[in-house]
Amino acid sequence: MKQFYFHKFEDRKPYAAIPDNKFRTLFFQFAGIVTIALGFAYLYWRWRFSLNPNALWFALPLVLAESLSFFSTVMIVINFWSNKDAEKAPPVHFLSDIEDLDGRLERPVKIDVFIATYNEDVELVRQSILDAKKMKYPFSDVIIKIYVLDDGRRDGRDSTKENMKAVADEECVEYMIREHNKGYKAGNLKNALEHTKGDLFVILDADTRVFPNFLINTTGYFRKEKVAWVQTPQWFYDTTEAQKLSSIINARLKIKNKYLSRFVNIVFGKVKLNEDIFGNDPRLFYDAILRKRNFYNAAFCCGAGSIHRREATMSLAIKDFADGLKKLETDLIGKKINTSEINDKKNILLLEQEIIPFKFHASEDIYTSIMLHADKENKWESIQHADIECKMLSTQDLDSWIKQHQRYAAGSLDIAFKDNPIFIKGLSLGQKICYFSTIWSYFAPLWILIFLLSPIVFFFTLSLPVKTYSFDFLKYFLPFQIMNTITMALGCWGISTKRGDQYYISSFWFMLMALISVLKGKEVKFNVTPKGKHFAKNTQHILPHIVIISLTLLGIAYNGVLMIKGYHPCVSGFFANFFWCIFNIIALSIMIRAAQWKALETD
Amino acid sequence: MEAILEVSLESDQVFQAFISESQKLKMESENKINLFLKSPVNEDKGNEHIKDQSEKFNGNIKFDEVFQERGEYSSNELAGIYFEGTQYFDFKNVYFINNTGIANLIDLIKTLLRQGVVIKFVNVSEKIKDKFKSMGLEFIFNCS
Repeated sequence: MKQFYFHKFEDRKPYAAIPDNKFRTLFFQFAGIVTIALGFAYLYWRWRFSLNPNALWFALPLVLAESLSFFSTVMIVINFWSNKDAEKAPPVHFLSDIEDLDGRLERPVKIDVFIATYNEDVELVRQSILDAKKMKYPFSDVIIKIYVLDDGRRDGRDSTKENMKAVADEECVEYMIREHNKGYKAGNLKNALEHTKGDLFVILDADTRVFPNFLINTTGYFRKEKVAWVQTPQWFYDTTEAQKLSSIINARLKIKNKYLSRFVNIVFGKVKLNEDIFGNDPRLFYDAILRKRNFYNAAFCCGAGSIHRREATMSLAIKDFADGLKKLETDLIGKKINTSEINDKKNILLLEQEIIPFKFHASEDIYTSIMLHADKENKWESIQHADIECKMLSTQDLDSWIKQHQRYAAGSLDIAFKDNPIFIKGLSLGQKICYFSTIWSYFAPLWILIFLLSPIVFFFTLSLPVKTYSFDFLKYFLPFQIMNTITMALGCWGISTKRGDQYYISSFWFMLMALISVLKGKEVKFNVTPKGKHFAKNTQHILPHIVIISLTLLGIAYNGVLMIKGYHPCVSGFFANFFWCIFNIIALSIMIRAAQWKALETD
Repeated sequence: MEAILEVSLESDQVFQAFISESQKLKMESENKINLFLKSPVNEDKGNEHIKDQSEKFNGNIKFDEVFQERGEYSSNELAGIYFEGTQYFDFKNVYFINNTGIANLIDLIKTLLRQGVVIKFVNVSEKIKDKFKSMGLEFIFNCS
């Protein structure tokens, strides 16, 4: 068997979902309300009394950034308001378990498992096939078919490519391709749905390896006829391990002298760094953010590791088809063309229009979820399953990581500008807030950039955005910040948010680029996330970070000199900005370290 | 080989749906339907894994899956007649259709439209008409 870098992580065990606790939820709700109240008080004071009239050019952008950031806090409190895990049920057996037979003959349900692939190593896909084959199900008459959906057309026709079909044949699973790549992954799934018959279908990526109980633990939810899909948490089992600081120093300085090396080990051996250096662990997202959206029926599908009801997916596809056609016809009528010409064009439109189960979009999963939730007639429900039922691979270098997250950002922003969930009829208020919250988070670079630049502006202009850093400032600011920290700790109970917080700041640049790209109207392209290690050049991604850190340090040095010479006009301002800078530098440095981490391992 | 047999069998089932009462019309219908029904079956057996738009109809209309009939004619057949550029389907015994079935009907309408044939569904129950309407398809499906 071909050896992959992730084989050494095979024994890693997934985390257990955070148990629900009513008291903690109550504490959170109380803390959340207090935080919002204190936040409003702080911002009222900031806007009304604190702005420095002599430097409004500086004061106004900063207070605006604080207000926008506070808006995020409010939405997080709403998102985390309560937990409502769906009731678990035994796996389904017959068609009548999942839908009304309406007089039809009874039969066992059919389940399809789709493994979508494009260019991944065929032996890596084999691992996913093998694990899919190991899935257990208590009813032998339930037909479970596994399909490899190969958009790379590696069926042996091209001798320069690996032969995916041969692997599928060896593993006795179905192999399906199409002659084009229209719609990318969504198109691949569309093609599969047109040629398969499962009542339920599972979506897996090439690297998604299901656990044996995946179907047993998820199909039961479909007993509720309105459940359209169930998403299980995506667990990356190959996140980077913590490294000893001594090992890093030895490697970086290429220390070969064993005595020197031993000395470094004694001094720095206990310090460990770089655990999950890319912040790939999505636990916060699945175990807190998405799971708590069950309360609003607003948990969205994330693709791999999800199971769907075909009837729900097809109902959306048909409605979209009809709506699209109706819209085109209305446009034609508006152009005042005669009836026979309209009929001819209508026929042409009918032939051109396609039935598309998953939106052809870079963020096809969230987009399709929004539309299914907005279906007023069917009132489809989604479920974020709490427990991990599969494992997958994460990006292993900064360049791939950024490309992947840039696509998420650009895709979500594209939805915001073209089909904003706030204005979509059929979504409940809670659903609108949750979806908007996801989209809003991608606007964060706008205020993060101001937070990063503000201390630098102060250091070099010596202008304050507030009248003074007085007791009044602390009186309003500290209680709000303390309560905010407590609220977030309660909301994310049991989950480390360290990396998430760091990357929230550190991602500002690529997120800003994604925002600009969408504003310019550039098409958001679907790029396949590389599975494995790709040693790309990362320097371009960290240049903005290096510039900001350098300017910050230069500013501190300049202000330090002024302080020593006794010329500094605002000592309290210097200290306030100094502490703020430390926070910024720590957050920004994570991406620089991530870029370095790869270089270290290459050595 | 099994897959090919299945394709042939299902194509026959689809073909059955188009059998008209008049032998002459039947032949006419047969010729038109053959254009899209038979071609996939004649494909190279080695390419059966290639699933594309062009071969979408081979077997997708399976009445036991997506349509349900009842009564004495309950079978895999849907009665039809071809007359002057229009293919009529009798929905008299069809009492259930799911979304996959509707998607198949849309595909069928499109494929026949490419051949210059219009489809009309007759004797459609109110329940199924309502289903079409709820999907916004009343102006695409020509029902009576």
